[in-house]
Amino acid sequence: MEMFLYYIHLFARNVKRTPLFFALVILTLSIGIGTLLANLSMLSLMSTDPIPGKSEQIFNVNMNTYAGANNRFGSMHVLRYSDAKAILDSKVANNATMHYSSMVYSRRADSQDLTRYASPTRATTASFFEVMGAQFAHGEPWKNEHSNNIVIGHELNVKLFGGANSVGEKLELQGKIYTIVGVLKPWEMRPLFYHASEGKAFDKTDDIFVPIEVAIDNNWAVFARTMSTDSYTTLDQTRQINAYYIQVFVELLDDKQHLAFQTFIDGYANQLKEKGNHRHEVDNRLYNVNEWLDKNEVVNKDLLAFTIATGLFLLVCIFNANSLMLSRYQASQFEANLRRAVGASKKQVFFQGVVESIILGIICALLSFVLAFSLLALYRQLFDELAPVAELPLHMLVIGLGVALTSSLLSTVYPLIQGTRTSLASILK
Amino acid sequence: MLSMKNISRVYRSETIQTHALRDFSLEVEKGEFVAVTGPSGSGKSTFLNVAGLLDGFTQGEYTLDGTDVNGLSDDDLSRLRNEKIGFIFQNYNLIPDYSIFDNVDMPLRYRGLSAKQRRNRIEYALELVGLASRHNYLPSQLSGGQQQRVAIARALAGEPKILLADEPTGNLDSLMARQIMDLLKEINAQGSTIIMVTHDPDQAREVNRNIQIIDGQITDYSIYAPMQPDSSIALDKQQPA
Ligand SMILES: Nc1ncnc2c1ncn2[C@@H]1O[C@H](COP(=O)(O)OP(=O)(O)OP(=O)(O)O)[C@@H](O)[C@H]1O
Ligand SMILES: [Mg+2]
Repeated sequence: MEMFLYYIHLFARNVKRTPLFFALVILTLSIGIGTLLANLSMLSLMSTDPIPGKSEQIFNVNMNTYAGANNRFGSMHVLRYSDAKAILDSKVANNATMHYSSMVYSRRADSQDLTRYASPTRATTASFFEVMGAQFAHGEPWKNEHSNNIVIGHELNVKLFGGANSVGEKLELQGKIYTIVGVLKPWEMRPLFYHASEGKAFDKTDDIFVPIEVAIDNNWAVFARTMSTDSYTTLDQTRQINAYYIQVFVELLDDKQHLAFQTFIDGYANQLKEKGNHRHEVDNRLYNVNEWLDKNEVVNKDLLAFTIATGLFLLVCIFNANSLMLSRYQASQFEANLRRAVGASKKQVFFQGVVESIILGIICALLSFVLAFSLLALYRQLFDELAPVAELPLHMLVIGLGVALTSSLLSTVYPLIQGTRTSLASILK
Repeated sequence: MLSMKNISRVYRSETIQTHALRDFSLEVEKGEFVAVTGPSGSGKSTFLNVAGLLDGFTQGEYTLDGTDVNGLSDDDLSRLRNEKIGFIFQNYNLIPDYSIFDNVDMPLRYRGLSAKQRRNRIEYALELVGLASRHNYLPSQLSGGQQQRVAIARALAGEPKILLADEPTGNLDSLMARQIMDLLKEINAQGSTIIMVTHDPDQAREVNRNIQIIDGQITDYSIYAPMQPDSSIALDKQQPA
């Protein structure tokens, strides 16, 4: 302990002796670590498993049912209502849900105030919550897919009801009254794999969840890609026509279920083909969560390349710091040798260097955090598509500290070992 | 105190081998003041470095204050250096941006002493070399002779068994050299064992034992009685006629 304090004291002296040198080393390493940290943070947010433990068991269903002559899209993730419904009704999958994205204006039915909040809405089935792992703070999913019952998210519940248990309360949505039957716990899902397409992968979870049948009946608009080869004027006309806007997710627990489901859906498609309701080749694809995120390029490929480049840049920074350190150790080899001559052991001289590099590493880490924060703030300003992930999560700070300590140790250990190798007699005259 | 038996130190480079010490044997008793002379390149510094554990040796036996040095670990050697040996260099080897106090403090830091114990020893050592009032001076603010006094204080502060000095007055003018010599003799008179390498035959004659090294071996081995400065009897071959 005594020695440890002495080493810290010596570090302070060394900094005072050559402040410019230390500033240079610290800056070199911090810039390298800071840029890597910023990019790595975004990358890690992009490549987080949004539903650990279940990501191998939940699949997005793609079908090749496009009714136009030219199928430029191949197997598509947006399905017709009739196909989606058939999949859910078949009950072949362990669990299944369908949904589309909408947006409604919401207001407490009992409020004097006429203010309405624009609320991202998911038109879906009661099974959605279980499939996606959403947890309820109050109440439960609706029991009847044709009832005017809804579930709301934590944020909207705070906005409208101050976070109280609002089960039983009523909301006015698009001019009709709906009863709240469930309130979700705070629910963060990044990436938002249930809607990973159309650049929505970093949207927040929805504010309102409504039975999809009710939403269709009430013509709640689709806020995502829709395609149709038939014409329609209102959404409630789309149940039997070639309108593509519904996503289906199924839960398949093992290979057996996977095979059973694939067999079912291929059989189903072949039946459609026989009836003339499947114009192109049968091509049904199941993507599990990670495959689905991959397919939608949720991890930005440019960013990946850029991150690799910053990784190499950090290596260059470490080499630089290393050679700086080496030059200093040659200069201060005299002192190290003198210390050994008067009784410091190689170990003690080595530890002195290690303590120095640990302090250096901590300083670099702190500075690189500041740099990374600033860089991410800059990204948010400059690149819209990076804005949702331009954040520094806590675990990245830990990684940053680790990288900083490793970098600083790497920059000092080699010169240190070189330093303790030289013979004392050859330096001191 | 110090016993070397058949010590050899060979420097090997790719092309040549240098026998800096060959079959070198020497006994030094407690309280002696030994002067080592010899031509340049004869192995004086090598001997002192081996004696001071700053350098290893190739063959032979070396016992320092009862401890056989052979095969000791770096930790053990460092402790011996720290506790038993005070080394004085021709170039003083002070740290330029450390105060006098901090320079003398350095070896004590590796001793596990309390701050108070260290302060007492530093003050005592600086007092002894006559620099008690200059704790906060930097080496550059002192004359060469004063700097060497600081180096002596640093060597003494650890209360070593033996002081080893490699041409301690080599960089000093004759007046300052005189003062350093007097200081070393005083320290010796108080009981410290000293081995000093010197080029100055007058200095060598002042002490009670003189060895000469030529080509890595002891060639002359004389014991002088302590004497008055003016009674320099001609035992010294190097003395000009
Ligand atoms: N590190 C070394 N590597 C190779 N040879 C060395 C080394 N140090 C000393 N020598 C050689 O060993 C011999 C003895 O050197 P040493 O320094 O002991 O001489 P010295 O008597 O102290 O000389 P001087 O009076 O000039 O200081 C010399 O021939 C020298 O060249
Ligand atoms: Mg020499």
